Amino acid sequence: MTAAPAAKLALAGQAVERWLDLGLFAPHAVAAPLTVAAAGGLSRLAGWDGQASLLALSSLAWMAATLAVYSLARAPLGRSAWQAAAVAAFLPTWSVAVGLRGEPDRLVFWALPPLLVLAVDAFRRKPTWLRASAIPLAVVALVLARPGRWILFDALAAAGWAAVAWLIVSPSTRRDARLAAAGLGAILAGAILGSGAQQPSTQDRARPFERLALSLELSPLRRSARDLIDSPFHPEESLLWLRALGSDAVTADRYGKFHRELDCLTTRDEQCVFVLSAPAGEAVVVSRPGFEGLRPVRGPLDVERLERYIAWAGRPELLTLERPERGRLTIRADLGPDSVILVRQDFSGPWTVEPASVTLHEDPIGYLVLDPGQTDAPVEVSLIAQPNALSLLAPPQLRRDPIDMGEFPVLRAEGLVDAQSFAGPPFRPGAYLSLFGSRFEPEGNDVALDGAPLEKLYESRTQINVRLPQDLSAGSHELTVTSRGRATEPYPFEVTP
Amino acid sequence: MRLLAVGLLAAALAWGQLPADRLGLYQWVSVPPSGDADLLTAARLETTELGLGAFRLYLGARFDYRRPYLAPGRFGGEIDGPVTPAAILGLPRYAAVLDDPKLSTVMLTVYESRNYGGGSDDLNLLRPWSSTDQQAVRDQIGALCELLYSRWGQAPKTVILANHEADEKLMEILQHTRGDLDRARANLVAWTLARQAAVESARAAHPEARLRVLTAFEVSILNLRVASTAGRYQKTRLVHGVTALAEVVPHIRTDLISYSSYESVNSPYETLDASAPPEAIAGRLERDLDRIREAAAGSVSPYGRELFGDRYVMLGELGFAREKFDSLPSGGVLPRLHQALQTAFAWGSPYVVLWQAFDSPRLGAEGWGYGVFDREGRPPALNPFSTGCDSVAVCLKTWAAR
Repeated sequence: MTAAPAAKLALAGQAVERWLDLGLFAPHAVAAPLTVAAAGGLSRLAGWDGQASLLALSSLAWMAATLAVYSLARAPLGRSAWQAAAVAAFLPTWSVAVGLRGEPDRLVFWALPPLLVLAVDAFRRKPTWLRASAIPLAVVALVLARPGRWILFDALAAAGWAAVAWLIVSPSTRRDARLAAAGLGAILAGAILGSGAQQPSTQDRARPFERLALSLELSPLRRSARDLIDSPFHPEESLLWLRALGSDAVTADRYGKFHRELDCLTTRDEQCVFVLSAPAGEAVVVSRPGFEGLRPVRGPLDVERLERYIAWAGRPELLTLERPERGRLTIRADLGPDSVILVRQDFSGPWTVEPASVTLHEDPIGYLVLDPGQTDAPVEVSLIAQPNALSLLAPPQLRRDPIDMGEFPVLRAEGLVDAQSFAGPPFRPGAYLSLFGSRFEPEGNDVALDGAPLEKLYESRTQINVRLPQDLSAGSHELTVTSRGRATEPYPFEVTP
Repeated sequence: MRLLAVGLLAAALAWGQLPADRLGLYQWVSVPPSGDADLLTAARLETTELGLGAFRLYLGARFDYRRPYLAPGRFGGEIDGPVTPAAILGLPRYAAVLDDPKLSTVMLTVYESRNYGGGSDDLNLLRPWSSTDQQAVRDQIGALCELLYSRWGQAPKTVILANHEADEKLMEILQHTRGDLDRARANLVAWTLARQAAVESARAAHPEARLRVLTAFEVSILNLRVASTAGRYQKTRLVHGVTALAEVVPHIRTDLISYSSYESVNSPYETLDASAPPEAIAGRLERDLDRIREAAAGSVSPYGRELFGDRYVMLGELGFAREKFDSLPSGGVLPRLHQALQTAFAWGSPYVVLWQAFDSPRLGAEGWGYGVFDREGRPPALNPFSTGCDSVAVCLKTWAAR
């Protein structure tokens, strides 16, 4: 006698349910890490990478802990509390998965929704002002802790939490909740590992401390720069940004845009770890006069100012950097009289500095500059991440210039020459000049001499010809080219009688 | 290559030294090729394998030829106390360079060290020169010379203590100070004079030594200028800029001038046109060697004059990025290298050092592929030269064996 197809399906369903129960009456969330653990163990046996194996071991350890907690708490738990515990049980799995990716900020964020759900549930069951106030507090905490950017995992997690919240606050069967929780756990644990957006793709050494500081909001400029680096476009500008960010490596597609720019150190699947030959360091001694001469970088494609920045920030002078305790960075350096310290940390973090006589400044891409004043003696400076209620609610954001995502015209370093002899400055009044550069418009560029418009004789994407006025005085002058409303840096030159 | 050999031989006979002893490879900061324990040993062995007798290396606290440049923990477990040039040279892989019987000339790009808060680092020339700097140079160069004379004093070798491109340092100081030329000039002059004094003092203390310890001051530009443009100090064609040759060399004393010759050999400075024919290199290089000789005439020590006469300009760095040059219709790397070597030796340069033994990592659009060997230790195939050799390594080996 054979069972009908519908009956077979029912039997299969029962078998799955029995497997999930495992006869242990354990929370069904156990099934999620168990699945991952089994996959990790098998992958290890098959000779795959160690990451899955680590995940497997961590998941097994978590299951043991969960079972112990459950056996202690099972009897007195009500339905909602039990489900909340099941939901919370995902977190260790996530912590392993997120930890492997080096993204604890993402974990912090996704650990907070249960607070919101429980606050809503508590208010629903017994409304009080106290419980009502817990809801906006949980929302604010969520907003402050949001990750820098979203990946597939976040979308799945958001959907999952919404479903779980619905199950908790609405009438439902225990089985529904368990099955949903188990399925969601498995999906999320896999999703964060398998998400296409490898992070951190930019191995920016500032990030760990930024997270310690709860300063999860990167400067908008650096965030746009990271997006540029992760995009398949603009290899040269991306390389400049990697140097500006002090990166020593970047993970990207093997035959992507860095293929011809950098050496591939190691290969994994279709990804390479591309190395930069001269990393600039997390904290370095730099020039104060140079810092004073810098101007804000206006957007990720503001090449001229970015190159100036790298010339200032990219030359390593060594110092000692230690993290004696959580949230504290201590720097020891023997400074020259015209030296300051660049620390690749987000300026907008809630910093306290010791000694207080050291002043904090923001550099053109949103990093910290510590200025102990003119000294040629050894200094010790501590940078302390000290968030308080005020800084959490309103993080300091002292400079928020709008970011211009467009391309900026560039005048070449030796791009101003006599149009006939191709000789560089000085020039005579009335001289015909050629301006060589890039990212000019085919037509419609504006050339300004000391701020006043200058007539163009010829223009193309890479060259503009002009003539200096006959009555131009001897001395220093400067030319600027403006294309699409974006100006080059002023190009200084000398005029001789 | 036949012409090259003739030229080299003629120059060598005139100079009384085998040509292979005057030609060598430089190994600057990079990463070891796969399978090699350290970059220095690998580069030394490749140099001697080619039959060349000269070798140049960096002797300073920033790089130990085992870990990446500026890596934390470099020299860890090897040197107790300050990482000075003498302490570094005492390490087996460094000492092996001097011990190697096949190497008759060793050039050390040497930097004294000080601790500025981050462990031993190269002497910082961005800051105002101090008595501490003066003492560090005197002590450390003195100790280095003592080590050289005590351990290799009876070896018929030549050791040249050099700097790395003074124009780069000039540019760095100007960038750091936003144009303080006085400090740049004063620092470079004081530093060089202190080194020279330490070496001369050591020489005077070891009159019977067979080992020759010399100094060389390295410059890299004479037609271009270091000038501020686009907000940065760069090498430019602007006439109002400065050079170490004009600003520093007249105020120093040295045994030898080292010329990092890219400006002359890679392309005409006027046009920067890399596709200029290889034959034109001869005129440019000869012209520039003459100019350097003239500019440095008053700065070369009596000892340098005694050894080199008026041919006191060596080529401290010479090379062509194969990625940029080897596919040019006017000719690839090998005819250019041939032309440059022939010209340098015919002119009478005492030494020529090729940049470099192994390729450095890529960095964007910068010229890449200077290595005689690639990152795996293989000689990259190039467009064949007229004699049939098809890589720098094979050409050099063929020549050195004659």
